[in-house]
Amino acid sequence: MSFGLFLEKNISFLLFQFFLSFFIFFIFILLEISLVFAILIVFFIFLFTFLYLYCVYYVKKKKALEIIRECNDLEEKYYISEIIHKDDSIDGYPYYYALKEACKAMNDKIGDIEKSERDYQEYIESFAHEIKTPIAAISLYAENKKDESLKYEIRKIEEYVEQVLYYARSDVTEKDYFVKKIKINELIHPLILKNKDILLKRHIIINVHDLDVYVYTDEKWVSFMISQVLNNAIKYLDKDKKMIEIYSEIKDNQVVLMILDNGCGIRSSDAPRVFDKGFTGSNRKKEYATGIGLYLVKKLSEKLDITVSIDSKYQEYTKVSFVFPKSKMHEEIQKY
Amino acid sequence: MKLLIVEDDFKIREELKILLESEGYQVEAIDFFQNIIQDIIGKEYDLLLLDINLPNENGFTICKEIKKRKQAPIIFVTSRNKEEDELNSILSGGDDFVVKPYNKYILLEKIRRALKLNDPTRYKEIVVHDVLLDLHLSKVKYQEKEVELTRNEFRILYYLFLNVGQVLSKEKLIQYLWNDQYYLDETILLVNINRLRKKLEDIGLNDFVKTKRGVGYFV
Repeated sequence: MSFGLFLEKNISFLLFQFFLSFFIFFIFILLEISLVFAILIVFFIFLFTFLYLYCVYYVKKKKALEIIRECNDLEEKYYISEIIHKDDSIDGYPYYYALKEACKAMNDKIGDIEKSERDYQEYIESFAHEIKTPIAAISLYAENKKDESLKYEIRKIEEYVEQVLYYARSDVTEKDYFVKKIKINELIHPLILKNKDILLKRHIIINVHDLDVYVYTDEKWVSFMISQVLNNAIKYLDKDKKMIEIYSEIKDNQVVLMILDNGCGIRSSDAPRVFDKGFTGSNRKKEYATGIGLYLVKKLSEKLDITVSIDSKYQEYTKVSFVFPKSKMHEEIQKY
Repeated sequence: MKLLIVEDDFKIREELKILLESEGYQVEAIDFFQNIIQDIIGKEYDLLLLDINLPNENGFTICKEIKKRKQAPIIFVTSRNKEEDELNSILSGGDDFVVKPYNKYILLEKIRRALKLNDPTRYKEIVVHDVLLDLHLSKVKYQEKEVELTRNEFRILYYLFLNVGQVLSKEKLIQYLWNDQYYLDETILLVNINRLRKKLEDIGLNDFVKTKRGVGYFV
């Protein structure tokens, strides 16, 4: 894009000027006119040539920079061919044409992929919903027959199906996102009830306190996230005295929900990776660990603007905290 | 209390019936779905469990029609937990919303809640055998003497008072407590019952909470 390169490209033009200058000198010598005039004329020819070239360069550079700026401003760059000005010049047109075609092909391809992805996602969602009816039937059957091991297995199936559903949805949250005011204990209570059997059977002491606070968030998504964490807490309790503590704190006007268990904890070497997809820990009992739960928690939390963090001491405790976003609505209400 | 189930899946309908009957409810289910609205209106019931996806008619439409004529609460059941369903269920006049697969405890609690919401009686105090339980101050009074109870002790006594003469098993007590967000396990329940008995003795109520061996407790 430098002026030098531009001159190099226009070298034939410059050579022509040189040739013209020699020709003028030759004529002047032939006609025996003072060479001073010749020098002056040649000087002006070159001055005007350079001025002309510089002007052309300036205009072209401006245009080029404009295209670059437009491209940079564009979020989805493959739409550049739509906004770029048509260039009919012999130099520009082939590039313009190629870009246009490439973008068109790319857009078609993206459209196809998006469609098939959407179809697939819709299929997965409808699968997850359809399968809930037979699961509900089996679950009620197991409940009525008081078949504990069947109930336990169904619980696992339900958990997997839930994960599938949220995994499929996690990329398109916007559609299914509904923020409303909700009391934290109304989120927690159904989750504890859901796990009542296993909590009682394993003699887990549930200590729930200070949950009379409101947050503004999407109930279903947050419920799913908390249930993943709660399931983990239950799964990894290993002491004689098993305890899970659920409570909330207000820090800098933000509501922080804590889920603390005195289970086996997380090795400090594993800690940075717990949110990674497929990570199941290096030395935990791998009882139906999928490595998807916490990954989804992290992913969904980012969409909901909730900060999730884990603090743990190996063999001692794990503490998961959810920091709910400050809400403008929240502040408005506090004013009154 | 009589519940009416409208659910087109045969297996679920049958199992739901068994489950709810074992919880002491009277249960009736609709088996044919030609004239659902007429059928429902023709029945006597205290609460309606209504599936959203039904043959011929959509659950929301049914709900709207029924609500015009009957006041009994309606709980929707569905396998799709989408916001639009929840919204539609509220718009069509439903009282609550349960998502399949049913979790027994959540379903039972929602039924209990829906039934209670229509119950106009709200007590300030309950008196059983000359013993007064103050529901606001969580105190027990007996012959000019009174004692304050902790949250857990109060709750336990409250359920016993509500079911005077009936024997409540440990499981039943735990279920009551859990439904009201007191998550006690068996050991803690026993500790609390013992403490409660001691406090009652202090105000002259010996052997007020009685034990029926192997079955449970009663007053």
